[in-house]
Amino acid sequence: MLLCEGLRVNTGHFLLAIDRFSIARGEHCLVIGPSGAGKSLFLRAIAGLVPLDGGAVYIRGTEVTHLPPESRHIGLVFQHYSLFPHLSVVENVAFGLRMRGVGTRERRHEAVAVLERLGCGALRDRRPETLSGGEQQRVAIARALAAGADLLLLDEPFAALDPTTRAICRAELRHFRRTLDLTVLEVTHAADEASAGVDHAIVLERGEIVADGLYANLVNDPPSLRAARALCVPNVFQATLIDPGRKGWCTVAPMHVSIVSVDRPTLPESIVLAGTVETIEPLGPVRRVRLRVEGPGGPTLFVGFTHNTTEIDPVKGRTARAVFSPGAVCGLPEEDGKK
Amino acid sequence: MASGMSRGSIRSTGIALILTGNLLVVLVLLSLVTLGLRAAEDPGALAETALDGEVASAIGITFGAAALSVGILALLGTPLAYIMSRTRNRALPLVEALVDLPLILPHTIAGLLVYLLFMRSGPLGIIFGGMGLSFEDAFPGIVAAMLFVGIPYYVGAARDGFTRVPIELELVARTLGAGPASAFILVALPLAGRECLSGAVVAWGRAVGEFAAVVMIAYHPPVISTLIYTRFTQYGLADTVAIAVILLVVCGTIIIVLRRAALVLWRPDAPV
Repeated sequence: MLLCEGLRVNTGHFLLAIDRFSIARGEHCLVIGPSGAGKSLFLRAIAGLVPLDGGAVYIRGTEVTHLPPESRHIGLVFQHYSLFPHLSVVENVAFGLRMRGVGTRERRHEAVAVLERLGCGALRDRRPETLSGGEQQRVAIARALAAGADLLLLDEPFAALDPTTRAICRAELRHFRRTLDLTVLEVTHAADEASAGVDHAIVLERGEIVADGLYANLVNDPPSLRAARALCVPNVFQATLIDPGRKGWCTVAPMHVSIVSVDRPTLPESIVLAGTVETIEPLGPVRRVRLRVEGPGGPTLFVGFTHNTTEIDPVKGRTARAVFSPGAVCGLPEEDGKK
Repeated sequence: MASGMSRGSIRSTGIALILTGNLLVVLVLLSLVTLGLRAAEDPGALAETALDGEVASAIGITFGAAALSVGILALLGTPLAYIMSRTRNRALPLVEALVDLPLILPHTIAGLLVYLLFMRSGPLGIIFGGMGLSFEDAFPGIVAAMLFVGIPYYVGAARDGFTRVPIELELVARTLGAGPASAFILVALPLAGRECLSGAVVAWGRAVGEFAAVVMIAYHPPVISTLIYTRFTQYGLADTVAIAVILLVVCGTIIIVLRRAALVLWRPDAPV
């Protein structure tokens, strides 16, 4: 669906250098990285909103490097959804059709049809400022769809929303992506929140991709400490490694960590770390527990699971233990390629 | 003893604030009442002045030249204001200073600059002279002077308007199929329209009241300010008061109507 090769954008004080990046049709890919990593610039380069200093962009198998943004058929959604405040909902959705020269009556009819497909036909005559965050998202998606876009570039669209609305909007985005076969490339700071339903992720740092792969693989086995931090991977801790016998960073996937009360016996070969229980979330037959472990380098938050069955379960505010097998621990190189 | 202000002191502070705040309003009102009383002393002069062909001609020239200068300002100043709002480079402070310069210049100097530019042997005077357009003691000279002094008023307001329009809206419009010009006309301009209109009203008002800059290049045909000054120095107060009353009524009405248009009736909606 989208392929970038040798992409170079030099703004004078910043260089975006993407050697190769691709996402398949229907995928949801996260672009993660610290502020100033070039995430938004990357999206704008794909959209054709900044001139390229090198490389090529292919959308739907066609090279669009030299095409202006209006010819790329992509939807761009910013924070607050960027609905045109001087236009009604139906006028917003019909904007792309208007640019294609579709007649007044026909474009209104088409815009209303798209709005109804997304379950928000009743909003047609409302003004953007009267819509809730979720409604604005639907209208923004409807506007992109009406303009013929099946690739959505989202630039932190949820950043300004409260946590509840954010969760609702994310669920709706997942739903529409699946039902409308959309491809989504989303820039986010909140990788942990955005993870549900995500297929693919890249981590950008200083204008370069430092991690690229299936989201689940990256989270379970991050390629570097920087990638782990950007992906909000839990259970990152410092330890003295037997081989090569120096201090290094490690991680262990939450699914391999059991959080048990101090009364519970543990296997002798297990790694056991004691800490204070911060939160306990019920998740069906198990509970997800966050444990704050104090170490020489400061506190580390450990996420693991506990079964709902025993009377000696961990209790919030009390001491408990994180238990995992040494085989589940992955080393994290501080720089890429030095694992 | 209570730490906060007592109810009595809050009330007296409020009254003092209201009185102080209204002093300026009272000052303007008092000047208008004084003018009205002066005019009422000789109602015949008021009627005579209203029918005076020279006064009607001066009002027509003033409003016509002011409208034309604002039209040219809007045409040339809107793209400039847009570029200034969207550009971040080292030349911007210099451009901003140049745009604001007429604001701080004595208007006689502004008039001198206009004269030097547009006089028959001036750089623009030569060019326009070749096209048969003369500025010295002519209507185009009045328009040029009014245009020059109006630049900071219009461009400043329009630039503020465009700055308030998030760039993201135009970027989204581009991805929806709009070219740069369409994104500007259909998104940026309607959203900054109120400020542009407001700036145009202020620039128009400034142009109507301009005297020093105009008189430097075009003493004739007289604009209303020139006529008032001439009548005051030649015939005294009575004649001048009558012209001032007529101008106040006309200007006041136009300003109120245009302000309402800018602030209330401005509907930047575009048809679907």
